Amino acid sequence: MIRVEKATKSYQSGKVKVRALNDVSLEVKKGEMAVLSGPSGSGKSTMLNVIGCLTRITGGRLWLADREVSHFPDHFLAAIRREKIGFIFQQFNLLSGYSTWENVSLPLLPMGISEKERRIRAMKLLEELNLETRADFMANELSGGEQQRAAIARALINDPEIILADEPLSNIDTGHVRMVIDILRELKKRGKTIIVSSHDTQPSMASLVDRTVYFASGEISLQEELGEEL
Amino acid sequence: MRIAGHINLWLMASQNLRRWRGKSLAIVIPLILVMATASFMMFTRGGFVKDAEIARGFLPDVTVQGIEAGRVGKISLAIKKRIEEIPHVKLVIPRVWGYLPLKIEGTDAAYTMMGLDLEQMVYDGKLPWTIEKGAFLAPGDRNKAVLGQGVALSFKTDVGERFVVEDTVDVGERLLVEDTLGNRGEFEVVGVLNNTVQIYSTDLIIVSLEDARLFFGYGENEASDLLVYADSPENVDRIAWEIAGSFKNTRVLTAKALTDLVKEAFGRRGGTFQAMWLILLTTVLLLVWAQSAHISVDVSKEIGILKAVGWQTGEIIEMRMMESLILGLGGTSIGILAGFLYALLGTPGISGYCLGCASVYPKFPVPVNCDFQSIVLLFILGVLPLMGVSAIPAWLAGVVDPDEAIRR
Repeated sequence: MIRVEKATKSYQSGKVKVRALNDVSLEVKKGEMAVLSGPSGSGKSTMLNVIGCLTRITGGRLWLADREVSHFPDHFLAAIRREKIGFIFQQFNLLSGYSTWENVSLPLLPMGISEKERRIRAMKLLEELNLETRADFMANELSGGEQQRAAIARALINDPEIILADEPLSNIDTGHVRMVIDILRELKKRGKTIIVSSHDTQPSMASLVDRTVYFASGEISLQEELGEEL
Repeated sequence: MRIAGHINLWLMASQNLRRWRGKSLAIVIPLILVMATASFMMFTRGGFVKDAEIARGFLPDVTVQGIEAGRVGKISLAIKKRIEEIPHVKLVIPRVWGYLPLKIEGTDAAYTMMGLDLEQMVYDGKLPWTIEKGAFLAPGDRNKAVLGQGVALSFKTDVGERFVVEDTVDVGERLLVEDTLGNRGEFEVVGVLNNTVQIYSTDLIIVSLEDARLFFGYGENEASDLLVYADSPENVDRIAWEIAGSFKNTRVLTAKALTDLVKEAFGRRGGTFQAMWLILLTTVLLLVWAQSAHISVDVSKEIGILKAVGWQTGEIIEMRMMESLILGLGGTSIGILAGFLYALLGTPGISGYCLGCASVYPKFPVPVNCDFQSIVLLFILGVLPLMGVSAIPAWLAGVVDPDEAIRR
């Protein structure tokens, strides 16, 4: 279970102090899929970053898998990111000088897993995502949709319990939207907890969603709990 | 982290260097140039220092020169006996020496003829020079000479001819010399010195005291200087003070003072080397600063991504430092090798400046001394700053939240 309690997040932008999250509380149960929705700058991506331990909240508390992690030191948070969380970035964030399979297997590298084993595990995921023929392509040689799938594969390489996807449908063409939704459906079937941020909810994704949280100006304006319609 | 994890990071670091070949070369090529320059300077300077240290072993405890009209001139042997009576003086030996300004193949050259009292050699059975060929002079030898290698090579002349020898003057051949002042001498070459300390021996023609007196026109009671040996090192200064106080028309030089003179002779060049060191250090620092600036802009996002996918800050820093270590070790090793080869080749182009011996003919290579300490220092200079500047930006990007590092 993921629980956020009265979270605030402020940062300095020049001389201005910006409050990206303001007293936000949220709960997502294990195996649920939640969508964080709202316009740009509403705080949904910041919320996703907080849950993904990519940034720390300046106030409030955060629980991941029943452990409060708000005050964990950096190396514990890195371990959580490596073992528990798979993060799919809006801009994909693949490393350009590396091949597709190398990008996918990056999280495994410091764990001491051999190159052979890393490649086997990466190839398995790339096959599932129909990307095996691009395994040795450089990341910058991939199309947008291929980069998206490579980013998904990287997020799944450690078989994490929690999948966080920041605007996963916004930078790909309509042909690939269906495919990404299918991947999310499959992950949900496997019992993964999924949180997606999206400025607009795709009708085809709505059927997967258990909970929609609407953000506006760093606060939750509305929460909807929906029945699962798999 | 397990050892296998470290190995993976090291392998990735080396792959990264291949991956970013252009960037790696942009760092490693200037590094090679800087380290080659630094190493040849260090090895050359080390050669001078080593030669100076060896030369000190050649010197008598005290050298006494005569002063005539305020200038160095002949010294009368009348004071020899009085110096011998000074407490703690073990031995006083007269020496006659002078320069031979000659023209060899149209080149101005200068050689040093040194006449030694062969009956009173006091090197405890060890000569300050080592002999490459033949033997050293023996007591009673007349019209015989031992040559420095430069002299042996220069006199390409046959016996009986002046300065034009068909072959190198070798042991057993005869050397006929006449300087520009008309002084003449004919000597049988009995030995050739080796080139252990070329800068001090290459131009030497060592003959008996009597032969040198004859050549330079010295009287029987005259010498160029007196070499004074003390019974123990702690009495040297006392003896020197005593001589200086007792004999007004003398110049008294201890071995230390003479060594200081030698050091001063190369001190200015040493100073130039120090200045060049500073320039090189600045170059290295600029290089690593440029590298650091490049990292901070270009790689901050990459560091953020690596952190986001679960890398620890320490793992990222380790990988960056490994990259720099490989670059630093590679660039420094190649640079040191290149510098060493350049020094061995005689520092073409700048040897005249390094040696400062324009009148020494033939030219000889700049002395080279490649010691462990210098190599360690060069590696420290070449590797540590590079590792430092790669670690600092990696650390700066690593200590912020991944989200912030990605968005920088």
